[in-house]
Amino acid sequence: MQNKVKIRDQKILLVDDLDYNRQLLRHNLTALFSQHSLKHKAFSYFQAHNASSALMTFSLQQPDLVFLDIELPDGSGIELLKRFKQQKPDCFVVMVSGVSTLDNVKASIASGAASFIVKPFTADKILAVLKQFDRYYDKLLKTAG
Amino acid sequence: MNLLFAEDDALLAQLFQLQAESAGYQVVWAENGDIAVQQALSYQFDLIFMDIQMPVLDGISAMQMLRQLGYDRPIIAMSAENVAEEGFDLMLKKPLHWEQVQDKLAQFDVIPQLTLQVPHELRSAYAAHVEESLHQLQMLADSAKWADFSAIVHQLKGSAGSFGFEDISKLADKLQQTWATLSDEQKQARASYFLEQCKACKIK
Repeated sequence: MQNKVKIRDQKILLVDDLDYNRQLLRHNLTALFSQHSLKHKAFSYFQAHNASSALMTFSLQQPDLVFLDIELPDGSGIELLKRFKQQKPDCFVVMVSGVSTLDNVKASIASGAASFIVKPFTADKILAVLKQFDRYYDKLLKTAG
Repeated sequence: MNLLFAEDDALLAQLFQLQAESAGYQVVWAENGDIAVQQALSYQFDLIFMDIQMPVLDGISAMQMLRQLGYDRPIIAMSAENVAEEGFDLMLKKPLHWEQVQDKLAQFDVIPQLTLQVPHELRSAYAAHVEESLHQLQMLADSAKWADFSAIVHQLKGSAGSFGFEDISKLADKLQQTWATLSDEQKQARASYFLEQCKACKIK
């Protein structure tokens, strides 16, 4: 069982209503994974363009890492975040928002978000999150094994 | 080197800014912990100076929030008292003396900036999307459908900057800041002005 956890790919779920944003994020995640000395870099991607499809994909795939836009056309990302954490408490969720008010950040942390990216995307913001995930996932595997 | 200086005392901040800038540093001032967190999350700074006693959000809470969010760049605490909290890289005793600060600054490195990769085809596709959005906005403005108008402006604000269209992002942000306070008549005028400005931006 423990071996299984270690050898399987990490699953990444990207949730954003704009297809271009998901493509951009995916392209840069792949680039950063290959350029930087991160331990965990085997991954498969899943995408969702709204809250309901995100919830369905999440339940099916149980991803390890989620980039979740707060402002979705059919619901709030924060509500979705709570449901993700209920289903899979050790899931690493990064909230993405165009609005970096402290209320937004605090609500995200309180609901279980591991990190927060303020749009527009930059490579530095994404890399910081990947490094954080790398440390987190390492710890998680150690505790499990 | 880019510095973020979080300090509620405007005079102290001005003095620091003057001294640091004349020594070749770039300084952005944040007047409380809330603004400091928001600024830090842009990941544009090599180093943060964090005052401990600040309104809205104090320096320790701001540092802890940033660390919790994975912020791993150096943060220096500034205080007249001793600071024991874990998470700061260095502690500077107030009042600050510039020579001493400069000495400490030498320990830290400029963090090389990474470039976001935007594949050519994706950029072109996004440019076409902006053109299409502006067209839609025009129609929505003509029929005064302000909720839909607002939603598209919000989307442009969040996404355009990532694809290299910072001008559009900034214009959208500016419009959003006062939008809620406008009457319908004012909205019409503001929307026309916004669309004119956007059309003047180089999108292709």
